[in-house]
Amino acid sequence: MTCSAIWTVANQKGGVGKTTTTVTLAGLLAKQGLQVLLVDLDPHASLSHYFGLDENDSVKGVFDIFTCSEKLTVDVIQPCIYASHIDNISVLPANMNLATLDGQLGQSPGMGLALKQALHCIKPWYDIVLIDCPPILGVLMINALAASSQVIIPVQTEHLAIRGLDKMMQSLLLLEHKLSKQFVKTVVPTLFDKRLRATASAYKALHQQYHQTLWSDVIPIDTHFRDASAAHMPASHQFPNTRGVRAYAKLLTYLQQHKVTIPHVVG
Amino acid sequence: MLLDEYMDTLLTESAAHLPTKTTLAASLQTLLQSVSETPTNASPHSFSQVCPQQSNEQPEGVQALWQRLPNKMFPALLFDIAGVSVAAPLAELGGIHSYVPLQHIVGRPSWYAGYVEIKGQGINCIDGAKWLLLDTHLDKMAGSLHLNTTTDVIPDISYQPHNEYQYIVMLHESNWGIACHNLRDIILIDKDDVNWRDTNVKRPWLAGLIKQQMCAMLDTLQLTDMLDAGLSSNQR
Repeated sequence: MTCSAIWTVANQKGGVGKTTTTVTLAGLLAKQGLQVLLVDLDPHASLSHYFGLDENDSVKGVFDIFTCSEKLTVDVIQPCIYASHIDNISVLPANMNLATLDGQLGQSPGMGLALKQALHCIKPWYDIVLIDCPPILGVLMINALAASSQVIIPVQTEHLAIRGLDKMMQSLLLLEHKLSKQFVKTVVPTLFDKRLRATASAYKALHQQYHQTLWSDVIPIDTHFRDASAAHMPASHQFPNTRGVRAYAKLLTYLQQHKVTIPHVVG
Repeated sequence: MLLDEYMDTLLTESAAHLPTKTTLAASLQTLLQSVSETPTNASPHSFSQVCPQQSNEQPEGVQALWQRLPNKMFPALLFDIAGVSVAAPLAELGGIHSYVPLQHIVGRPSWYAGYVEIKGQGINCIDGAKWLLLDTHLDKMAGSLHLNTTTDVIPDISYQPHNEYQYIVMLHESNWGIACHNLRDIILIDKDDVNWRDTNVKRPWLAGLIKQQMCAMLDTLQLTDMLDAGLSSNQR
């Protein structure tokens, strides 16, 4: 393995499919034989729950990294990472405590670069890191974006969600300016229901406004995602031949062709 | 703080080790001070330092919650105490811990659930139901018993909910935590969606009522001031 990439799945609107996107892409990447690290930054800890890491004070996680008073080293970070029951997928879990981080350290200088520094220490272990963001622009999302090169923005194909996307894009622009870097941004239409006229009209609006960053295909509504979630399995492993997973496979191909650093397996 | 400035602060490259020694030093010092004042094997003598027995001292100079919140929209934690939902702005919370067995200390008010050290932090935990819902219980009782809840002797509430508590929600950077039964959600609230109360009235800890969720918004600063003064929820 030659290099690692860091992708963030983010949107300031909730319920657009961020965790589903993160888990399914991770499953597909793991199937390619890549070592994947999932970072759960959402205090709801849905991603952690997905992999059986329920909120518990005894489970170390990303909160312990943020509040660590020592210099971040592999020895500090390693105990916070757990091997999942899926081959090639490890998880750095969240818990509800993260929700208080903005209050505790949200205005501390340099706190936005904490995750970047932590991931830098463990970069050699993984081919790719996927970060699941909370739907709030705060210290957690800023950490994720500061650490990432590529941003995947799932957007539900409905008009309200598109309004939320405007805010997300403005935030990304501001961050690009602050960080003096440009993200590779991919807007992914999710929960697409072809039976609804409103969905088609929302997709058209998305295409008009964001054609440069919009992925040309869509992720359809597929109940298999919900079933996979109930089974604590990535849909890519539980229901590999469903239309939802096939759509994510297409998306992954697109992302791997359009990213800054391309992870690939050697030998 | 404006978004622009907020990002500038968070992304200050030179300060880029997270909890830097400097940033943590101040909070650690505060924490250590409060821990040192909080006895692990607390004796009745030392308790007055962290929770003076009931006094008539009133919290003064505390700005109202709606004035303290810098932005019109703010995230808040919704949590349940004995079936009642309450909310507190995330910015005013110091953390959340799983509820653990507490050290009960003789001679404390009934709403003081106990003391515990979690991850090196000394925590004085209040029984959420007994403290916050005291008013509700008392109003009902006073109605039936014709008591004056401010001046009459307060009967102890026999309800013992602590066996079912799941979490301790920490208030500010204080060593006060409030025991609750469930963490329900994190929501983004518009200041306009809260019926704010005047703080200079009875129950200053009750900042207002969130219209949509119909739940109480806590003024955590007023609450910690009252706890520091050893006051129960219906006292001022």
